[in-house]
Amino acid sequence: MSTGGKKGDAPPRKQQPQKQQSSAGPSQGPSRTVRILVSVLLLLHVSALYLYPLANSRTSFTVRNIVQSPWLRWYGDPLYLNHGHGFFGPDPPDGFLVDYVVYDDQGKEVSKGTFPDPKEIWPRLRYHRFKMLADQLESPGRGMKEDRLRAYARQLIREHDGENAVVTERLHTIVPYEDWIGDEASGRKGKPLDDPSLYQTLTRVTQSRADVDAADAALESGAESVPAPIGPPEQIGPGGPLQ
Amino acid sequence: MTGLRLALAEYWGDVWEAWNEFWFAPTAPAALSAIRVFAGAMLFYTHLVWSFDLSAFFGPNGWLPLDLYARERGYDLEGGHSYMWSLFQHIQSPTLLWTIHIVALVCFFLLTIGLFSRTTAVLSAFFAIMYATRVTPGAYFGLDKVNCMLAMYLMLGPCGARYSVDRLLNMRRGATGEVPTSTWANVAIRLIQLHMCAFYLFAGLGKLEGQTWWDGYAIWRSIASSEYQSIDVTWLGHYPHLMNLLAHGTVLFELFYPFLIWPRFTRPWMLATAVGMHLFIASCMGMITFGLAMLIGNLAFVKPATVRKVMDPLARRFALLLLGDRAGQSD
Repeated sequence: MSTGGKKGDAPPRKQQPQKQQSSAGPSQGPSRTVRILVSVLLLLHVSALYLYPLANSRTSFTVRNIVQSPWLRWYGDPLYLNHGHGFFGPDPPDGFLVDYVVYDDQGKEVSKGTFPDPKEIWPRLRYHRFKMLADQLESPGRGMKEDRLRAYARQLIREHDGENAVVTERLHTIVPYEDWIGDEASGRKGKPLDDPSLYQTLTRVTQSRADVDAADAALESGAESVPAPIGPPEQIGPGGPLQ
Repeated sequence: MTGLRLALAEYWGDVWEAWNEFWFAPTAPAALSAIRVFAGAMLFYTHLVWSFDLSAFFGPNGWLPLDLYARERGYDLEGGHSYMWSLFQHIQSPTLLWTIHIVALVCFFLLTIGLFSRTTAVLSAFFAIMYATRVTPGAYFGLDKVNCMLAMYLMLGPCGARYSVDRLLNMRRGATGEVPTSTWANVAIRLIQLHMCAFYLFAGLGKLEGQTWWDGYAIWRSIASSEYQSIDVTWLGHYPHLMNLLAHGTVLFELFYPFLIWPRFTRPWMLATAVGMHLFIASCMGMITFGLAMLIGNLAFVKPATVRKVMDPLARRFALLLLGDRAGQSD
């Protein structure tokens, strides 16, 4: 196998006597001026490709300043280059779940569920989008998690034509290997992947139809603020029981 | 001094020649065309799936309402202004939203079959970025990055030169000769290659910041995550040495990919490892689309002659079926 064209399709490398004659490169293709211009653009583009993922929280302020400069963001942001590539890094993450209950105006349960739920949400790519909705509650942003959860609650009210919705973020810790494998010698049994002790309730919010109407009105009027919540989100401390 | 000047001149001459050969040596557009077929199909499927929840994700209200999106887009979160922009920020009407969605799907489909390839490649890149930007942050993941990358580079080269309706139409007009090589096909392929190297390099570097990729538990954490799991391979837990080797092998593969993918002797091993790793991710961790998209990106490292050996017989059958004798001997 070979690279895209280097050995198999590119013209054979020129011999030394021809080298000076062909110093501008292959005779086919764009002129030397175009090549120089394109080369500059390619250098800038490839630099952007490698600078964006380099700019994590631990990198030098030099790189951070470059990446946050309008000159680079003007180019990289619209082309969707402005992100890292930490696939399953630094460590494979724990799972997050969003439980919800939607009630009608009589207080009767209209809908209850959890996402992501592979039994309910298909195809798999769609399931993965909902998994991202749950996981990215934890992505950085000052006080954004509660606002995100409230937006989910309002969407559930819309979808199920409800009056109120209670939405709860739940953490599913991955069972430690030692706990899963157990210990035959001491008679300690292995813990299953979905052992109740691995789940922890984190944050719960409530939204009503009035919040939905207020949010829709704010968007229509172009207001940029999220409607004020009825009350502060309920923060549930570590060790909280499984619902 | 003259000797030094000559040596420097020769050095820079060699650098320029190597640069020229790397970027501007014309190449057969077979690999780029094959990438167009697969990437186009991936783009089409990926965005078709959005149809289930189009208004819920892309409407002004929904899972990711616009006011929240404006704040999350980071107008001042990182101390800098975001230049990200999505067409969907401005779409209020469900009818207009669906119209745009259908136009985008048609574009992705035309890109797959290779009709008006260059135009649809440009439009596909535009739409792919628009969709991805609107759900970032919120519902995006690695697939969106790979999709946008492939779509962006496809538009740079003659991605419809082979395995396309465009090619069939040209043949019908009598152009049954060999498809010419192209400098821009090479530029596009090189950019995909370098972008793939960035993906793997920073994926590997990111893992070095964690603990579990060092102590080997990362594979356990990956296969024991119920939310990712699509096939239960926790039986691997009974072979801890194997899990450790897989963890270390993954990090080494990602770190060394940008270096070992270029020499022709190590390239097949790197590609084989990529196939194994991504098929494992696709089948066992449920990220089928992401795994396949990364494999499509890896196609950029397969030489055009190899691509032709696989793709040409299929293309010839299509051509004979549709054009009969007018298909000639070409593909």
